[in-house]
Amino acid sequence: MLSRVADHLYWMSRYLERAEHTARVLDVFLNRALETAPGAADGRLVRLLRGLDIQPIPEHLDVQEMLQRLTFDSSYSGSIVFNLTGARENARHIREQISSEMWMEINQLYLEVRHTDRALGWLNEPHPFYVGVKDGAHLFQGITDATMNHNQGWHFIQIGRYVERLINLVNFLNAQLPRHFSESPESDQPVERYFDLVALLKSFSAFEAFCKVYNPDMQPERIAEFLLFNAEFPRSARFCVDTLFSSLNSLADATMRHKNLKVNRVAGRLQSILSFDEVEDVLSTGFSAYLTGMKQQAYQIHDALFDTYISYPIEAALTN
Amino acid sequence: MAADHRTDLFTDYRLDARTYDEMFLPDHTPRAHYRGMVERLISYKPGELEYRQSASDLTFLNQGITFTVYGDDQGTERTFPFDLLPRIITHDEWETVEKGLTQRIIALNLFLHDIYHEGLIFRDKVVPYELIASSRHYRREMRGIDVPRGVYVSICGTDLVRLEDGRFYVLEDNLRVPSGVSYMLANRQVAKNVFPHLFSNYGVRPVDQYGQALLRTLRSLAPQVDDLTIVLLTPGVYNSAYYEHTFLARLMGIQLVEGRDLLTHDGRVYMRTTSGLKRVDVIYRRIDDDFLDPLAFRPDSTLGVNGLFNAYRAGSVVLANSVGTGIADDKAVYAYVPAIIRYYLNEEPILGNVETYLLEDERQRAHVLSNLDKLVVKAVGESGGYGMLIGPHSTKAEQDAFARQIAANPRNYIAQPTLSLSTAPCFIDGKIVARHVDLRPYILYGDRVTIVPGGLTRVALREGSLVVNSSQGGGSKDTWVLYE
Repeated sequence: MLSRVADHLYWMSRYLERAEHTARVLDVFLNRALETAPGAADGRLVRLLRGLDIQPIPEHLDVQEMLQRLTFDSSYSGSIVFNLTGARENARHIREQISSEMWMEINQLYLEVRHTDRALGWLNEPHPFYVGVKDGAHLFQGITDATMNHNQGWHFIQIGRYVERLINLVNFLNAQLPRHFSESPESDQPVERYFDLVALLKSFSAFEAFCKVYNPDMQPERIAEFLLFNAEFPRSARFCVDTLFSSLNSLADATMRHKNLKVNRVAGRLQSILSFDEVEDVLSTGFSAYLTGMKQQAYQIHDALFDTYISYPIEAALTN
Repeated sequence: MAADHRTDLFTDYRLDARTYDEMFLPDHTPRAHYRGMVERLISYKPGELEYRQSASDLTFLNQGITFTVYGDDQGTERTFPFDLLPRIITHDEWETVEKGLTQRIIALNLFLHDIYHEGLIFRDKVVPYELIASSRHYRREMRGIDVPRGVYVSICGTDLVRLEDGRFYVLEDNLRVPSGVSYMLANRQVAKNVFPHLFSNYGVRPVDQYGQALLRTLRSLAPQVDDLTIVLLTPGVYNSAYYEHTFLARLMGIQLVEGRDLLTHDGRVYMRTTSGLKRVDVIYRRIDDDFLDPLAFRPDSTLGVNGLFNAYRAGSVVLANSVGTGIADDKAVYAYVPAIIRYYLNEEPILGNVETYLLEDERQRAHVLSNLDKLVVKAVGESGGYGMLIGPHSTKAEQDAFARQIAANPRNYIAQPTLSLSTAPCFIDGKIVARHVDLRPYILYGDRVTIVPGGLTRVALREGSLVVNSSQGGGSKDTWVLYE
């Protein structure tokens, strides 16, 4: 497979994952905002932006304006439109490599979002819009699994999705969870705290899944444990790394390489950390430091993936 | 007899005394090979043709068979209008076309070899050296380089027109990177799907073997047989013919690559794959000479491959078509093609040329300048209907602008009489009407000459218009060559 094609597939997948994540998080944010006690909204928008890794955070914050930007500003790299455009552009360059069903779905999703952008008043009813983006992305994933050969290209799509998902998760947790460890359970507003934690779980569609494993008693330690180490929940860090590690192994097989490639070693190390660590290890390292370390490893996987398959130096390839 | 066919369907079908009509004789009776078609058309229930037409339009849209229009803000991707009624060519007519095109491509390849080697044709004063040396398509870099089998042009799409006398003439040779063959194949596919009844018992020769024939031609240019990597080099998604590039790559099962997928090392060409670098042997390139290699040609090209031309010159990679073929379809060189055929093959040309005025000649130029309102003026290096003045359809201001350009650079223009292209039946707005058409057959030349029977018939959809280019309101239709 051409390296350029792998590159486009990987980025198509990352952009789409990012668009979906942003839609889900904004939807939960708006929903939560409907029932906020006076004064408790302070800092929430800042935490949202930090969770989405938006830098720098604007000094003057207006909720409506920020939502408009995060949704429709095509020149804003954090916006849904920007990321959907990125996904579609990457798909367009390799249209003949993906199935026509995949192309039609991603093209349709893109056109619908652009259409909504021009229709005024979407903010009166944001929920159906964000759900539409989420559903479109889910549908695309299903269509991909059902219509595309599960060959190298499919593995690049998988890796792109789970690298992006891991980074999104780490950023969001790092912005939202630490303050709950420091606050005592008897703080002034236990109800607000409870709903903030529920919203955090919902930002990853994890509330229902969490309640099936733990009781709905919202302990930040349990939430961290679930979102980092649960092997079965498809948005946990462990699940992301398990899946992308397995795709990396398939890629090494398909391209007839040894499995001691750097990219496999980095991903394998992260996988074993996530398999054996416990939430106590996280807290003793320091929650933020632990997550920052994980994010660095995700970036290392990305870099090593490109060094091996996509932008490798010519000399290295010729001596193989 | 004649009156029988003048049902509602044909009431708007106008014959012009100075134009050859593909379907009707001047007395409105159908030609023998169209008789079956006319009877079938009359037998259909009202609404049947409309229904089939909309079914075919939808097929093109859904399959994304599109082209890109340059200089159009709306942007961009459009379907190429498809006309339902096939254009029919008889066995005998095709035989002449096939022989004529074979003769022409062989002679043009000998010509290219000669002008890049000994230059005998200059010595014998058949073609003036200045004419060649002054063309921007002449590649001095190609002097003395031997190409596989001596074949410079292995893929060609010649534009033919049928004039008043009913004979086919060559209008343009298109020896660089001709496009449109995917529409020939798609038109046939769609026609067979939406209107199978039209085909029954007509004895239509197939065209679907084109992909195989193209692959075979490309293979025959490679030095070895085994472990051969052939790729199609495209300028990318923003090119007007990108759909065709993906279509052909899929048809032949070869990789579709962009310039940035390829690199050269030690005089060899590789493509960058996830499994490492892979050596490339043959490149079917759909990029113009100018953009192939920034080191050899235009340094600002971002589509090409650094060092590709050196690898080509060293013989480690095959390019199809070769570099420097554009010289032979310079519109001023075109005027010499009959002489070129006589010179190399010692035969009379089977297909005629259209009368062409060379504007460097003072007398011809004077004649052209005083008749700009009647003639067609073309820039020698352009194609696709760009850089053209159609005298009878132009304003005085446009004519004056061309007169100034001709005076400034006479070598850059030629003039031809306004041709009366033949008309063929088209189904437009519920009526069958006559529209002007041309014909572009696709010629392949490797170890032998292969021409699939048929080609792309392009249609000027506006009444009276003579411009068939897809970029300027043209459409196309399926083209049938009959077994007998």
